Amino acid sequence: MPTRYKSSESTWRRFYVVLALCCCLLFSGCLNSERVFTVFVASSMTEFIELMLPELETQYPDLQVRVNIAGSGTLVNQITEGAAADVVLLAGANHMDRLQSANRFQPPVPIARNSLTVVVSSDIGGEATTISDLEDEGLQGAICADGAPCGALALAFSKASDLDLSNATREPNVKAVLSKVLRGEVDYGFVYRSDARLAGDQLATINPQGLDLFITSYSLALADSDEVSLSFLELLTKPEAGQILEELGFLRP
Amino acid sequence: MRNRLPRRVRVLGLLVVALVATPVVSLLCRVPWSRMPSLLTEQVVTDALLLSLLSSVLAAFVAVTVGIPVALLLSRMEGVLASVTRALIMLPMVLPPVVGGAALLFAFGRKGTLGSTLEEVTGLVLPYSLGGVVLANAFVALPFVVLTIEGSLRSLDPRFELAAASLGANEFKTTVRVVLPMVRGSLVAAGFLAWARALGEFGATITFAGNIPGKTQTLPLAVFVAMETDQEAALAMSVVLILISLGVLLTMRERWWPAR
Repeated sequence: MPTRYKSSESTWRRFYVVLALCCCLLFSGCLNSERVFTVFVASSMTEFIELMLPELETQYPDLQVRVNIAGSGTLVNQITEGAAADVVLLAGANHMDRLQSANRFQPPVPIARNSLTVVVSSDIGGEATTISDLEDEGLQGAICADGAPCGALALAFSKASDLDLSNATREPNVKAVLSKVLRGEVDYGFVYRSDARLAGDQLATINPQGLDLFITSYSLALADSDEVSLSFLELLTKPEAGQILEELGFLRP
Repeated sequence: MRNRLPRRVRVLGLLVVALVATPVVSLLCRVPWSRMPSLLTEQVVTDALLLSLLSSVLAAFVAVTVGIPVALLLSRMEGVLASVTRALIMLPMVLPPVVGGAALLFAFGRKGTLGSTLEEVTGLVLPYSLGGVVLANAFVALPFVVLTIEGSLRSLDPRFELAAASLGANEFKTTVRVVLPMVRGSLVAAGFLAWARALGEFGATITFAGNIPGKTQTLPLAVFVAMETDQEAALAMSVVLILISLGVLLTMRERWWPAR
């Protein structure tokens, strides 16, 4: 049937036209002259970055800022597997070392430090006041996964203080731990002081002796020393930034 | 004799097959084969493997057991009611598993609508336990089970049921002794499909059952954690998952896509 062949030919033609249009659309996106600035941020630094970015955006009105938030281990994996970032703000010296050894990032600049605390769900807030109460039968804890610095710190503390954390669930990042405690799905969680501060009065905290010695440090690495990246670095290291960090519960570098 | 395919269709088809194979092959290229034995015998890995096998088999049994009455019910329903019920049952199949896990938390979590009563009455807490892993896995596997069994129930010749009834079998006996044995092939196929789906489950499990090594950390969860700490171990575990999945697909080929 000749007519059917004709219609199938025109279907193919239509297919090629659509394909060509898609390609045009794709390339027009690349030709867009607006500068994109990609920031990779450790999950615990979310609020700090959100407070600092507006200033960068007023400085460069044409700048399109993209923020990628994840646990530090995930961020480094993404970059070593080819993700492009202009600046990377990581928790944990080991992750920064991995980034430095695998990539052409510039030497890191310290930004802040953070220490751990234990947040306790409001359901058991009155009953659990010391660290040994956490080992009570039936209590469910949460810590970060080993790959995130908050998880590595919590495990190091548990080893040093003989606290059994083998029954705690390992969450992908510190925000997941906090939200599980806030929703009452777990009874306690090991989070950063800055995260506990976010929860405010909703959660009680326990600060066993020695826990404040388990500290993680944040550092920033630039891919290039272009103008925008340098402005970003300056923004994060000036004295006002230090004040904001302290208000958020971080320690100065 | 079938018409020979046009060349561009053949080329395009082969290209897509190659494109699908590339990621799997690339992963296999990165695997540290010589270290496989030592990587796979680490405690974390063996724990996760055993837990995965146990929970996925249990989940498959649960899904088939609860899926049979649903499939029977659906196979007798007609019209809008059937469409709505089927859509509801199929929902976990298209829903992001993380959403499914969150929904499970709101229902069976410690603060959930049913979970809090369950804890009060029986003392049973589903999240952060093996039961939670099984529930999350069965939840995402159920649509596959219902879909498979309902399909073969619908293609069943109704005369067998008529014959059974005319020989004096009651409704229960007809269902259990006549209808179900006739679709046992699809019950097995559904079970394997559910098992395969449960084995690879990630989102619902980590959201609902958490990630406790040796207790609720299944193989996909262990891969996720190891990606950040020990990539070689993650790759070794991925190989195990790929081999199991391929094995299931090849053994079940007769049941899932017969006579090809």
